[in-house]
Amino acid sequence: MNCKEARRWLGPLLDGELDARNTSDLQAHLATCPDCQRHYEGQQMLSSNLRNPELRYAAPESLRRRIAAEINQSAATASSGDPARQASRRAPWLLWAGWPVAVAASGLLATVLLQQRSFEANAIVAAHVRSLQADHLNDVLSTDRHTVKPWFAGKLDFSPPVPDLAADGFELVGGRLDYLRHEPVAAVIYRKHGHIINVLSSPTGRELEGLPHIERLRGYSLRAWHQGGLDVAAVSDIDPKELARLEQAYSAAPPPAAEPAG
Amino acid sequence: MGKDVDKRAQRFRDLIEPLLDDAYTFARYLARDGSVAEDIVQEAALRAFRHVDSLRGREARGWLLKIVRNCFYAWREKAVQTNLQSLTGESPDSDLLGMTHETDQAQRDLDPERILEQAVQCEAVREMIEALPVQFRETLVLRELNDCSYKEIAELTGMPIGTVMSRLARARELLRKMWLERAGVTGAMS
Repeated sequence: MNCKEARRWLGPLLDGELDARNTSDLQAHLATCPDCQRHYEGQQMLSSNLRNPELRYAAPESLRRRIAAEINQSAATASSGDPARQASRRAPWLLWAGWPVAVAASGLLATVLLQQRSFEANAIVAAHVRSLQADHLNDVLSTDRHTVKPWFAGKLDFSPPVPDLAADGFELVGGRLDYLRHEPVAAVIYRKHGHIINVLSSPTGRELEGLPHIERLRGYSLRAWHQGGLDVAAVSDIDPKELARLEQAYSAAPPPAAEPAG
Repeated sequence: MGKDVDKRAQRFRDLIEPLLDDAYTFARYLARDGSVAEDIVQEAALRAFRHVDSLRGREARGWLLKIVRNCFYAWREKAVQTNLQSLTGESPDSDLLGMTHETDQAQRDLDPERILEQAVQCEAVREMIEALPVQFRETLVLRELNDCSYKEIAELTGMPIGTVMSRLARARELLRKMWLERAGVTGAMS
């Protein structure tokens, strides 16, 4: 074994990952090569410094308590038969990233979740297509956001943003209740260049959870994002770039609390 | 259904809760920020809880660390997207720039391997680990602080074992250089 090879195997030797034959070859080399031996000792030293338990961190008590509370809570909601409304305190950056990331977590799980994911996307495209059929588009037909927004009140337990996006070329057409997983979601409808865009929303972690940020499906574009405690999904056959613009404009809308009443 | 969830909660307490220190250590070195690490671990724990049934027969620690890693990259991607690079401090190439030339000097002046014997403060070691580019950092932390085998690292990062080995070697080399520099500076001062 030459020095170059030897250096390469020093780490694995140190980590107890070298097979028997290479180990004995390497040890034979180290016995005759003070240079490599010195290198090895240096690595040992470094490694033993790194394995200092003080370099590890303990999970903060507050974190442990939060996790335990969430677990207990979801156990409680599940046994009371309430629809799962967990995960309300999830970090916002994880919302749309949720399912695809979890997918990677497990081989077996992957299949199940991928089906679920495309189920979600499919359901949303289906809702969009359904809405385009005669008389299904609007429950409230108005280009005035102050008519559309209050219309949702009393029909949903949340209030979807209905921003005026005319400045970006998106004309408000109306609003509608739609159903996903047998639960009502808000649909706000816009139009641009003759294309209809459905913007669906529901509280975080419920009907619209787990959508990929961007998806193309059967000629439709989908974008999903999170804003102000809601999962939002926009679907249309419009140019994906336009949909991105819509996301930008829609998500820039002030949160409901900041909007003037009515 | 309630019973299943109770069972799941019990499994979680038995299998996952004892690993939260491991998870937090890994997340903390990846994110280099305590509160981000907490968010990551919390999210990872909830996912682990939801899917703890699928754990059957698998090694819980590698599985959990994999979820933590996925959560970290999701956060990082989002942070980069929203132009918060400054928050992640992640500029992989510049991390180590300006670190090498002085090292050569230190190496000439002092017997380098001797220097490694000098105790370096815990805090300084943490800083050095955190200065590694993320792909080397994660491999090193998994190996040295989470005590994962090459095979475990390969499985949870999805890298071939050869890549694990070369990243680990590179991480150690970079760390060694930083170490020499740091010790050389303090050595020169004393």
